[in-house]
Amino acid sequence: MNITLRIFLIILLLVFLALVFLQINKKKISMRYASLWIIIIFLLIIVTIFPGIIIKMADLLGFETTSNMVFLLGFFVLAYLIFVLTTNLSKANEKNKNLVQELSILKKKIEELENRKKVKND
Amino acid sequence: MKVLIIIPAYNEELNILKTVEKIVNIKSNDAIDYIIINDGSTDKTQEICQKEKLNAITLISNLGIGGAVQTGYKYAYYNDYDIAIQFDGDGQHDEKYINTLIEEIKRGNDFVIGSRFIGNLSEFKSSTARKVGIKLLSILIKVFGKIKITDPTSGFRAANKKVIKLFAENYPTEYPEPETIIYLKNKEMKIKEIPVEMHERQHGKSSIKPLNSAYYMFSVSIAIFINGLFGKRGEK
Repeated sequence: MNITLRIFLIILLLVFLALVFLQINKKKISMRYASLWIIIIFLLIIVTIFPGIIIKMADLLGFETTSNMVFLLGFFVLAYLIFVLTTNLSKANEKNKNLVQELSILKKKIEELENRKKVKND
Repeated sequence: MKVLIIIPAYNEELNILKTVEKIVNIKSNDAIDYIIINDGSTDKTQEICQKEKLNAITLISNLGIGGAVQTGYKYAYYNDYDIAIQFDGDGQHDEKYINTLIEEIKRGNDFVIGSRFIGNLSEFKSSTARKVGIKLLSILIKVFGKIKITDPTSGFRAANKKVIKLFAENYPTEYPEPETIIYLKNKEMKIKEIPVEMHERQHGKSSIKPLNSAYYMFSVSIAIFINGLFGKRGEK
C-alpha cells in the first residue's frame, strides 16, 4: 500500500473517531453503540498500519485478492449492523406505540375529570 | 353486561357522526357504550368529536389501524368492560348485527367474527383480487391454526373479557385481523363466525392499498406461518 494513501486513510479514521467522541460528549449516541464504532475504527487503523495481517489472512483463506476479502467482510459487517438496527428500531417503535396509547388514554381521562370539576363549580 | 363499541377513525369527518348515531340508537338489554379512537386524523374528525361531545380518544400521533384498535381494547380493559366490539367508522359494518355478536359471546364464545362470506346476507363481497387473497389467508389459517374462518380480514368482531385482556397486553398491530385469529387459537380461545351484511365504504379509502397488497399478503402469510408453527411453544 502506498504511504500517502495510508496516511490519508489514517487521517480519515481519526476524523471519524473524533466525530464519535464528539457525539458521546454531546450525549447524542449511547455508549453501547459508540463502543462498537470505536472498536471498528481501531481495528481499521491497525489494519492500515500493518496491512500484512489481512494480506496473509486472505491468502490463508484462499481469496484470489486481498480486496475481495475486505469487501466481503465489510459487506457482512454492514449487513449485520443494519439487521441489528432494524431490530432495535422495531423495539423502539413498540415502546413508542405503547407510550402514545397510554398517554392518549390518560389525556382523555384528565379532560373528563376537568370537565366534571367545571360542572361541579358552576 | 357492559359493552364497548370500539370505532377506529382516521379522517372520517364525513362518516363519524352517522356511525355514532347508529350505535346510540341500538336497542339492547345491555349497556352499550362507544369509544372513537381518532388515529391522528388530519381532517375535521377531532373538531366534530369535540363539538358534538362524542366520546373519543385522540391519539397524539398516528399509529395505524392496529395501534388504534388496541387502544380501544386497552380502554375497555382499564374500564372493566365485559364485551368489546370493533366497528369501523366508515359505514362498512351494519349495526343490526351487534346484538347477534353480543348473544354469541354470552353463549360462551370468546371471540366472534362477523363474516360476509357465510350465507347470502351480504350483497357486497369484495373485488375478485381481494377475494382470492382472503381465500388464500383462509386456507393458511386452516392449515396452521386448524380452524375454518371464511372472512379472516373482517374487522367486525366481538371479544369477551379474556380476549380483551389478551389484546390489551399483546396485539399484532401491523397486520392485525388474520394474525389475531392464530394468536387466539394458540391461547385456546373459542372462536366463532357468524353471517353479517357488509356495505361498500361510503367515503374515504380502505386501509389496504392495492399497491401494497402483495406485500401485505406476503407479510401476513409469514406471520401466520410463524405463529402457527412456533406460537404455541413460544408462549409457554
